[in-house]
Amino acid sequence: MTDAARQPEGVPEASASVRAGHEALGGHRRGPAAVLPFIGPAFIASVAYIDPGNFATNISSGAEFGYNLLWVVVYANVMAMIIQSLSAKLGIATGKNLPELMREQYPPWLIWPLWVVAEIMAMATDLAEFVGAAVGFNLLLRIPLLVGAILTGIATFGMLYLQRRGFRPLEALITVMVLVVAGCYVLELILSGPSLGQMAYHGVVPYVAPNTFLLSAGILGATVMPHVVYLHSALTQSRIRPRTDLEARRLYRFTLVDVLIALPLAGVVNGGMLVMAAVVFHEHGFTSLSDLGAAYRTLTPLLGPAAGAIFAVSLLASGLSSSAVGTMAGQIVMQGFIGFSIPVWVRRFITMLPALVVVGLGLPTAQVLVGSQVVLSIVLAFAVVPLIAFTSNRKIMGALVNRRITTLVGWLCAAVIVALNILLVVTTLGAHVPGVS
Amino acid sequence: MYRRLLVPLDGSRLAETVLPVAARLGKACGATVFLLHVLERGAPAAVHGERHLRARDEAEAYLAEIASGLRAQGVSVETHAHEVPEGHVPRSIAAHADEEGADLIVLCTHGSGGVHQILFGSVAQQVLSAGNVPVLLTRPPHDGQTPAFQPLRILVPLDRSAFAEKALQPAVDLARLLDASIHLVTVVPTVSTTTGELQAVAQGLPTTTRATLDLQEEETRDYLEGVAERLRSEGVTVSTEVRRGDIPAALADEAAEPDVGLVVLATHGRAGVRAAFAGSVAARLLDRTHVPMVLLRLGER
Repeated sequence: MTDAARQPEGVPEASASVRAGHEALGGHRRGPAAVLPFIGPAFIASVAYIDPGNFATNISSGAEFGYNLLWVVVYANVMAMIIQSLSAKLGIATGKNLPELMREQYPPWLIWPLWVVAEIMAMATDLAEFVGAAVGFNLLLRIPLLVGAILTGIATFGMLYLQRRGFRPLEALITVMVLVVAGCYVLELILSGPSLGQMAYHGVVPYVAPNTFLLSAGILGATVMPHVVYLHSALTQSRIRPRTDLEARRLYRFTLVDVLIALPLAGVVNGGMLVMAAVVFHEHGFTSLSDLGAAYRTLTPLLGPAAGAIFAVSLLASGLSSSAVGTMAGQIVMQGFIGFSIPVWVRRFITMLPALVVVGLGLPTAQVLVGSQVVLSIVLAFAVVPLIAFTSNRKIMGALVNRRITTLVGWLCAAVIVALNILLVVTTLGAHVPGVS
Repeated sequence: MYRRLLVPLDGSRLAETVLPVAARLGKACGATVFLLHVLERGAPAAVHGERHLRARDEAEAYLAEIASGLRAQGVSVETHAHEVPEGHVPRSIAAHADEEGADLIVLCTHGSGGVHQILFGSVAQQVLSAGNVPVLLTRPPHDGQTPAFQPLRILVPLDRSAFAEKALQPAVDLARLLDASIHLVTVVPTVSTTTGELQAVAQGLPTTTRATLDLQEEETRDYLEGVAERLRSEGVTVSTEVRRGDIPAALADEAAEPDVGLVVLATHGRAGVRAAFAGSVAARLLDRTHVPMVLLRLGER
């Protein structure tokens, strides 16, 4: 597979860049040149990790706590890199996805509740994507939010139809639109020079207070994205597995490159959003963001009056594209856990109902979105704990079994996730947590 | 292998383009060709810009004329004109296939049928989803010519599933009957042509997905060679090909190769929007090729 000479002629994607990629992983290229072939795809992939849930949690956090929660973005990003790559590794080593392995390894009485939790995850994911896209329509076309939500419903069905017909240009357009806004945030981050010292400090030094748990959990849920944990393990479909350990390791190295480039890119954008919210809202005394529609002001310093429209387009684009991904993850979860699935359009319809209810009741969009990401953070443990358990089991993983240090770091991540959510629940119930001011 | 071929005709010249296929198959297996016209109450006088038979005696005379043409070629023929309420044509055709014990329906799909076709599929696709009898669909080019039916190679698309392999035996039987060879093709998508769940994975892991698909291409070669060897041991001439790209588009390219005169494919028999949401390959391939296709309607596994 790595031998360039064996690539068949006339295959569009067996291009020079792929050959360069194979050479790089085969060890024929070193230094920056080794990573170059992967930059492009990973750059585009970073869009998959930026969705309306991120917009809501980052901007709410920046508004409420200034730079203080930047460290959560950074740490959550590192955890996401570890967890997402382990998930792909599980798929490569076993040829099965995480839900399938859970069904295989755990007793039946445990599977049903785990499936229900995973479906709650799918619903919470879609709630954020859907409401985000609806707010996008609402801002862009100046129409009522409910009409925006109905348009979103139509648009998601349209996307699903086109996608199933193999029509791709729309997705490329969406990717470009999200990348444009991502680029704007990065640019703003660079242009807001004076705060660099503060950014560096708060990016590394944790700030913990009882009232930060909610937004911290929200950022975590939005960054690690439990549905992607299930999804990445479905990498090797139709049970095609690497034939040799060498091939398996090589595939896993591709995963590391994908994840180690795309997630930090997304992380910089997420950090940019938080910092801009700190600058635009927090420093001017607006510390509570209830309407996601107001968040466009974070782009005003760079884009001026155009900020509203551009923000709206990106919210719409990222909502629609992430919603499609969420639907597919839901299909994998259902098929894996209980062994059968419903037609994809039925799932599409059911998962949009909570969002329509939220919009119909006129609930504050930013808070609902943050809430949905907190739910994601809570259900995350139900995916991450089995993931670490499986990937550290040599019987399941064979040659790709975690090294001791990886398992240790993995369990540390799981412990942090569980601890944060326990703290959140306890403080929400009004209890005092010793050691936390 | 076939004893009774059901050939529905609506009176248009386009529908008659299936006759060479029916004649060839009828003669090759000594089957009876059963010509059927379903009279649609309240139907338009013209369909696809051509006359549409509306009266029973007109229909019977028309069928008799076609029948004598076929009998002159040495084919055994029966005819029947049947009246149904409007809009029930596909179901009626499927019901006749069952009643008459037909083992193949040979019919022409016209292509463009407006919104109704987008939603529910062509009459041909609806016939397929209404019954369990295999359907041979032709989609002649719109040049008024009736293409000859002399397949030298029969294309069998496989996707490594047991479901798709169910097309193999009927294809082998047809190959023997028509003195043709078998051409096995599997399409492995590229990253930018993945669909469904894999597309969602590819969005987050593009490089890994590409490498996985390259691996899949290699394994697919071994798989196809394995299937080909099995068929060769039965005395069939077999060629294999692995293509990359969008599955229906690549299959259509392969069907356009010289000598390929027939496609045999197992399908779930979905039509219209249902087919689109289910990612049906057969429905999309049908839009892209003029090569006749045998669609075997099989249950959900």
